[in-house]
Amino acid sequence: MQPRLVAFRIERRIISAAVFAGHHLEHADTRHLASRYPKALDSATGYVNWIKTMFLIETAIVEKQTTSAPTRRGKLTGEVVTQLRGAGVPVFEIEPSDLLPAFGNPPCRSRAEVRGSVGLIWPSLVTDKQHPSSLDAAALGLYFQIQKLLSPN
Amino acid sequence: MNGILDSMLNKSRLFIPETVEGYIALQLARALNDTGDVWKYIAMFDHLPISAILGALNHSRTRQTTRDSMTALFEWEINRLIQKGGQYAA
Repeated sequence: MQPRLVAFRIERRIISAAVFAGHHLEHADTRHLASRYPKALDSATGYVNWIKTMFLIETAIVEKQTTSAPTRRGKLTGEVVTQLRGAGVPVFEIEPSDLLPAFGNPPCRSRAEVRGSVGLIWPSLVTDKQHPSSLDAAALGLYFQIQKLLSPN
Repeated sequence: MNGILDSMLNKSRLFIPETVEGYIALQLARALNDTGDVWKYIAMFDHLPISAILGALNHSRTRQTTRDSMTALFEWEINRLIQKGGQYAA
């Protein structure tokens, strides 16, 4: 079976995942998180564990935090990264400044432009059932998979 | 007149991927410093499987010399593969 990769987009009240086999998007969805941090963390780690087990994940990707200030999003991301690494899943962190320009020529400058492109690639992600952050997760996964594919051996 | 032509030329250089192949073509064009004509790279997917295109990229990387640009080597290899019927031979 082809190894699977998951890309997570984590926000204050949301965690989205996009699962890839090669450059094929197999699954994408989102969980809303509670406003109380302990409950939110519990939901996020439960969701990450479900994705990891359900799709036999071998690699995970998250967006690198660009601010050093302690934020709820940063704290949640740190916990998810620790959880995955603790379970033996390698986690790669992608700089937003590398991700955004990849989705257009001339390079995209905003997340909205990237979402526009990813929505054209996978129109099923632009529905009422999907949160826009699932587009961010899919962008992250596609970026990583194709970088890996085109990198020198 | 030149303004209209320039604007048409610039429009053809604008590219937003609408498919996975389009996204790969854009990254391929970037890897080869040739983003002026991404459509050329998209057209390759009509003739060759991605494994053959990646094979041609690696081939041009390893054979690159100071005299021959990697882009020229890549295009030469792609044309050779298309003429051969899409089968990649290292």
